[in-house]
Amino acid sequence: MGAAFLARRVLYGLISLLILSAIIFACTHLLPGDAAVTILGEGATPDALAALRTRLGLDRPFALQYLDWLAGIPRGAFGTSTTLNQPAGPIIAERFGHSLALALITIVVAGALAIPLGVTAASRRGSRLDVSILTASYLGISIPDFVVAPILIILLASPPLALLPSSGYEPLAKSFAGWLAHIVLPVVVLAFLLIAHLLRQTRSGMLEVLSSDYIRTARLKGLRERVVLWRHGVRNGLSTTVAVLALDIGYLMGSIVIVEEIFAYPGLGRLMVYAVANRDIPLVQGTALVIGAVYVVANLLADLAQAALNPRMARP
Amino acid sequence: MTDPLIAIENLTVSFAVGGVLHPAVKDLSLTLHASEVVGLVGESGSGKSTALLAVMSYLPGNAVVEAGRVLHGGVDLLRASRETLDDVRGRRIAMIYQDPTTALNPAMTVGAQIAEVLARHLSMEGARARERTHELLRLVQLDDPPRVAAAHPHQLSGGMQQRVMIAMALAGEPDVLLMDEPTTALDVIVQARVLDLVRTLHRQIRSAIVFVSHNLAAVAQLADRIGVLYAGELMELGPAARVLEEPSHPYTRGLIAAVPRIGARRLPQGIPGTASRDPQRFTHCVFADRCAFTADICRSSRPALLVPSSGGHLSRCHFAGEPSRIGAVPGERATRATHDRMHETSPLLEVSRLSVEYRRGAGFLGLGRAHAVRAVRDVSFRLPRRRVLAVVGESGSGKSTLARALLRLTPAAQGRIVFDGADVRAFDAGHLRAYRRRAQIVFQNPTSSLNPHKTVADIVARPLVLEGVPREDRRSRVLATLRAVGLTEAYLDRHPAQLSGGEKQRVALARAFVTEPLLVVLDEPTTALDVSVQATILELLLEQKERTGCAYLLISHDLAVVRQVADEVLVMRNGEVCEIGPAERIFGSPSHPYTRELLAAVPDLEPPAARNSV
Amino acid sequence: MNQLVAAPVPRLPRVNRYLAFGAGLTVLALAVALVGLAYSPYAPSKVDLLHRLAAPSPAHLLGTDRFGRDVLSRVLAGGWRSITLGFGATALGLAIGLPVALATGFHRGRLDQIVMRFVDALLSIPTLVFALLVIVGLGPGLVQAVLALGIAASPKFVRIVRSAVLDAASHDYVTAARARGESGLYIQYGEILPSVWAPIIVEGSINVGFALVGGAALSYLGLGTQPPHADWGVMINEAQKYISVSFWPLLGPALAICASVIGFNLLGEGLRDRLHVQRSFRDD
Repeated sequence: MGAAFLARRVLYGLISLLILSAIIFACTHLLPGDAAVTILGEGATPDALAALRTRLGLDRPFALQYLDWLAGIPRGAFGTSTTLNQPAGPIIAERFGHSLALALITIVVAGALAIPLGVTAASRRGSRLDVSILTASYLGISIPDFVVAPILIILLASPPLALLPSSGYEPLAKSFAGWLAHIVLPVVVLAFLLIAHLLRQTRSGMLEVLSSDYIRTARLKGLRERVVLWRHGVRNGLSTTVAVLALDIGYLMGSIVIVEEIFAYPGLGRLMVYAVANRDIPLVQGTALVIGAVYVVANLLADLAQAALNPRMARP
Repeated sequence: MTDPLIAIENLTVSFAVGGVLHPAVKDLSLTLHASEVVGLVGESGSGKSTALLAVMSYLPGNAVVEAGRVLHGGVDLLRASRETLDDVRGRRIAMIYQDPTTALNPAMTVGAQIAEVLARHLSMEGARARERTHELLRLVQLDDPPRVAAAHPHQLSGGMQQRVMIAMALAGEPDVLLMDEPTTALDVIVQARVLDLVRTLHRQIRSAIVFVSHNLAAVAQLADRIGVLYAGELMELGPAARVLEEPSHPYTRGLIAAVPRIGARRLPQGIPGTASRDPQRFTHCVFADRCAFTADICRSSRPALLVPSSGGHLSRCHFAGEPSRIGAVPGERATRATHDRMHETSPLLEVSRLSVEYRRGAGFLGLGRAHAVRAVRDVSFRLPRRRVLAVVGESGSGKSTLARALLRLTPAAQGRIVFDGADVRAFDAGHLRAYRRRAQIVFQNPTSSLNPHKTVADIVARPLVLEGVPREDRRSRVLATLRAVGLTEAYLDRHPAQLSGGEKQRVALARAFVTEPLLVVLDEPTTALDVSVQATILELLLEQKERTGCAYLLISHDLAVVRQVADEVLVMRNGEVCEIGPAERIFGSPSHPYTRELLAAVPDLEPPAARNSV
Repeated sequence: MNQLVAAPVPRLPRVNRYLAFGAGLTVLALAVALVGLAYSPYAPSKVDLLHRLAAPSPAHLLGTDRFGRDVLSRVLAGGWRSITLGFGATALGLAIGLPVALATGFHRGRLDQIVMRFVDALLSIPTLVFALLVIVGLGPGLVQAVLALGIAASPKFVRIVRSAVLDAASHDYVTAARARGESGLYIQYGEILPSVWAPIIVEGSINVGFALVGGAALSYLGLGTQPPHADWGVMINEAQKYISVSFWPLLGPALAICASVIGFNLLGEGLRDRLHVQRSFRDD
């Protein structure tokens, strides 16, 4: 895997981010609705509205506004939150940290469970184990997070069991146990859905691999099935799993919005809901961009990992 | 005689599809002795691949072994445990597959894949295994073994990959090698070299080989004994020379007559009809509906496989012992009169210095470096009406690109194409449309070239719709064209999935002929078809040409086919013309070394004399 | 006999089960929606403060919520909104995605590259987030939710349909059509489209379920259908606050959503096997 390949992929990523930023900016500015009116209310005087517009830079040409915003991003400046009257950057950064913790833990937990299960199901296709795993994953995909969460809350966070808090957050610095207690339920809910997805995709990726010609060759060389499965099967299946993992991160980011809202967890998702509800454009743009960027970066890493695992993919 | 290494006894394997059992192999009995080469020949549906996989006891989940055994070393492999099989596979019996690109693990180096066998069966590891791997690669005539061993499969050419597969199969030092169409996916010159390699290795190592192929000529190069499979049954089995020179079964005779020979200009004869796939076909002779010599007994009772009392070899025919009844081997058909030197009257198609380029690596968002690859360089030729110009070459020669450029499916970079006096490259939209009615193309793969969602009637009528022919006239023209390609009105409402390969190709031809074109470009028109069907299609093509006076540009890699139908031959390599001239001269006294190499590489039906001296 | 699978085991019985089950649930969901349009045991907004948060009883089959409103009635009334949202968003997504996929998949070249980069970028925004972006501009409400989810679903459809288009276009019958001089539009809609219906039907069915959930999520967040309209997402949100007192108000809408989504999912999967469609890795 050469430098050319790496450079190309990184370039693709940057261009994707650029396009992403343009789309986000367009969405928030081209659709009907006047930010100034939202902030000051319907009854505001035309003068006040005009003054606000000038202050927010809303009267300048659209393209200039976009470039201004874009220029600030590498510095971490996402404009000023119109509802909180603070720079948006630091707020987003702090919330991002919380969400990232949630996401990473979820991925590790889900991956550790789903991948082995998926491989096992594929290797025993048609067996009772496979069928029950498949059925469970269908159910898992179908039950929305905002249904699972309340059920878990009833079971674990309400009297009589009340094992875990039903909302809120405690900084790691303050107390590990407290931090953990607040994170468990959100992670469980997120993992529940991620496992279902990952399981299905790992399974079908493995099934495809297992029906390929080189698996037949491996078996007809007299290799034990265990070796065939892991050395030949999983090695190739893993590269598809990695690709799928990247996709799932995007899915995860979407789920995070709801889950953080349900558990009042102070992350990026909750911030976005707040921002959308209050039409705080800079915050909306900033959070959306960061969320999208996570996906782009994940995809890039997945591409690189795939190329490392399967040299045939490394051709630029 | 020594005990056989492998004994297949009365094997019957069927596949369960939608609750119905479809037999793929019926009552197969075959023995394989040490050091011998048995060739199994069969067309599609013959069951040859299933038979081979059954020997390895590697059958899909929906396969049902209805009867029979496969004995090896006293053990019935079909009922052996996975542990037993793991010890036999790779070590006693090894397999080589048709497509080496998919049969090798893309994520592992070639050396590692060979070393696996050494570790598993011969307990060889580390340096010793590395050494042995290099030895094996040298054995299969690969240069620079360390470099090859460190490479991944996609970094090697098709021929090299196949050699690696052979090395891998030999690594376990097996007594038996099973080869499933090992050269079918390779170019003709590479094919010849790999066949040579197998012959050499067999002389050196003396393992027994079962060589399965649809290509009778390739099998003839290697086999001591030949078995002929048809619709799941063994039709004939005997010493190679005898089966090829004095075949007793009508199917074998038909097959031999259908193989185009490069040695002489003799039109091959096809076998009409297609192989039956009716699960109930074994109540009578499965070949009866296509056999030219059937009697009532053939349709009512199944013949047994036996050696006729008058002597000879095993044959499954009620009339096995009566060669006179079946008649002589189809003799030389009237040689097609070679048209006298293609008159220089203004040719239908004249191509001068045509070049076509491909851009590789389109770059990101259309920017970035893209270097041009010259797929066709400086090609010139003339094609008069009623003539066949064959363009031959291996893969990468540019012949297909040339064909597409002539129809402006690919833009040409330079040169002139003059069709009926007009400059094709200068056509505007209107003239281009008209051109496309008078110049048609037929593709190699009939399954891919027919839209599965349309009926035969739709497919064949469509060019007429484009031409603006009114509905009433369309139907009669479609019917007339279908009749011309040997299909009846009954086919109108069928979909491609309901047709056999040969029937599909006829529909493709009908689609091309319906507008009465002056030029038809045929891109490997018979390559995807069984050999017995090939000949009927070739006959059809020639008839059509004589009747309508059109001209053909035939693209092919199969020199034997070209020998039978071409008036003039153009040999291409790497986009350039190596040689061009009348067919007689090219085949009789080729001047370019590449042409000579190509001709020498074509396997012929006569078994090589040298092979018999061991 | 040793079972060493190279080819798939015939799976028909299980497929029919999925299809049947999925079809059944889907029909049930549609029935609920249709019935709810016209009839419900009580008016969905009828308040009865004497019987708040009641458990199921003959009078209130699914209990009552915190205002004493009959849960069953509200489930019925909210049904048509959710189903409409599911179908509406899917139809919109396809209406945008299909022509784009056909055009880019057929023509290829520079325009295709640019459009696909664009689509890739869109795909990096999760559906819900994208829907939120659109809602920021349009404001909350049912129609806005349909628009938002529909636009959000289109990149995914472009991706999926385009790969089916590329596959079809690689067949010689498309080249043959070009060689005959057929127009681009005819080839896209006359030759390629018939091969592409199957994945559209499959992914479309599955998407109806997910759009339904997406809509409920938006309502849950207060950005979709606004209270006091009956809507499954809104109902769950309201029920959540009183969970410790009674979980019955949660049960009705939760069951309704789950049943609908499972139904459409199974329908899609069952159709996938029936129509022999390859699974794409985008299961949003």
